[in-house]
Amino acid sequence: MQENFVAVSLSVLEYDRTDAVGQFLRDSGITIRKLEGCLWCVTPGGKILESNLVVEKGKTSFKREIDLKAALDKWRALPEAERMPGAVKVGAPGAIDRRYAVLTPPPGTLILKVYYRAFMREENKLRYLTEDDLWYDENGDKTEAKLVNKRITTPQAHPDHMWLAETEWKSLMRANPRVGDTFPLPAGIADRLVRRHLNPRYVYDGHSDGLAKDSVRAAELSVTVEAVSAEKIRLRLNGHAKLGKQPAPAVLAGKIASMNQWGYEPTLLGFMEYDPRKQVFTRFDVVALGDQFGKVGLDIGAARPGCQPLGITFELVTGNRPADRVPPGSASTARPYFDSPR
Amino acid sequence: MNLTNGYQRNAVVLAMVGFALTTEPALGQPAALAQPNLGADTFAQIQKQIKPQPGESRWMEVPWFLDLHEARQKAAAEGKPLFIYSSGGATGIGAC
Repeated sequence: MQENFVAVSLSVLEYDRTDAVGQFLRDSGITIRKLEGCLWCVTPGGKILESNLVVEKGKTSFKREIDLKAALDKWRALPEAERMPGAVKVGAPGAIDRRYAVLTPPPGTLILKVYYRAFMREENKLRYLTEDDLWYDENGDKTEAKLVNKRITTPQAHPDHMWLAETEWKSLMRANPRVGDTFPLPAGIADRLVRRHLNPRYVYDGHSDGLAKDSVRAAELSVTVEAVSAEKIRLRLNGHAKLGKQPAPAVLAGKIASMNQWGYEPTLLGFMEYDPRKQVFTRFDVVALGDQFGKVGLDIGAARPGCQPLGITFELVTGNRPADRVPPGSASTARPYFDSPR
Repeated sequence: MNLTNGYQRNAVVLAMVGFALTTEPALGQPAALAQPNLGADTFAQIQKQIKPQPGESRWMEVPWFLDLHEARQKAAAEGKPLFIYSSGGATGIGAC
């Protein structure tokens, strides 16, 4: 893939862009459809080589596979004028249609790469899930293998991003910090961290609008200055949150899997380092870990029995890679991110 | 197919483009399992265990572009075709 193609991921909304991107999609005859995996191999000039679109009995759908080898064969059979490096000229993009373009981080945004992972507790250690750990109903039917193509996706680390606006991350650095100084995590950061990024539903059942305020039973986050020098200021984040419901006694005892309620009670710990000369954060590592109950799989609604660990990491990235600029929650165009969740 | 979650979308697109999907048992346990008690002494180990393991999610290794025009410019300059993936109202390579 990396050797032979340039890969690009689009929002379905981009088809309606009035700029060069939308024009290219429409002129090429590319079809993209919401809720279907649409794959297209196309030349930089807009000639379709291959896709997973099929037409059967007058109805179109997207099959599961795309034949990349066939695409490459067609590519190599093209005249050099269509495929040699530099042969096709792609000019400046012109004005961008921001209504449907994918959201980009505003200048100065600090980007944190986020990963979520559900674990099982075994002999007081964290271990990864297997299909046998996931229950389809509260009494133990284990059927997540019914998921698409029988692939068990729930055990994998699930990626996301958190953005901190420049004013937000700068608010973490107080004037004349001294070792031992402790202050609450600024409210705007704390609210978005807790309600958007500690929300287990955000990942596992597509609930991406952030938790309602009444889903936060408790949240306390503080920052302590641990070290101060001319080269580095080190901060430590401590905290905890209690989200959703408290587990029913049978869930707490590990006898059933909760299919209709959810809760998550993470502890948070973080280490941040700030370079006062360059006025930038050079480290921003935060981990949340705590017990969660409720569904962790989509569509089929799998859950783990009892209360089991859910971990979330946050780590600083430069944003130089396009994939690191994927908006939080893959927010597309108009979803407000920096606004407080409802 | 009705994929409403980026997690599953990613898994499926990965299969579509011929990557070996990592489920278990390929998602093996790390050599040292972390204790579920978050503290300064367990922080690094827990952080490592949460993050993707080597080979776990190979679609994340693809240098995806998010801007089609930028991708076209690169493809034209390097003499490569584009591979376009779209699913749902949001960018396909992240969360929902």
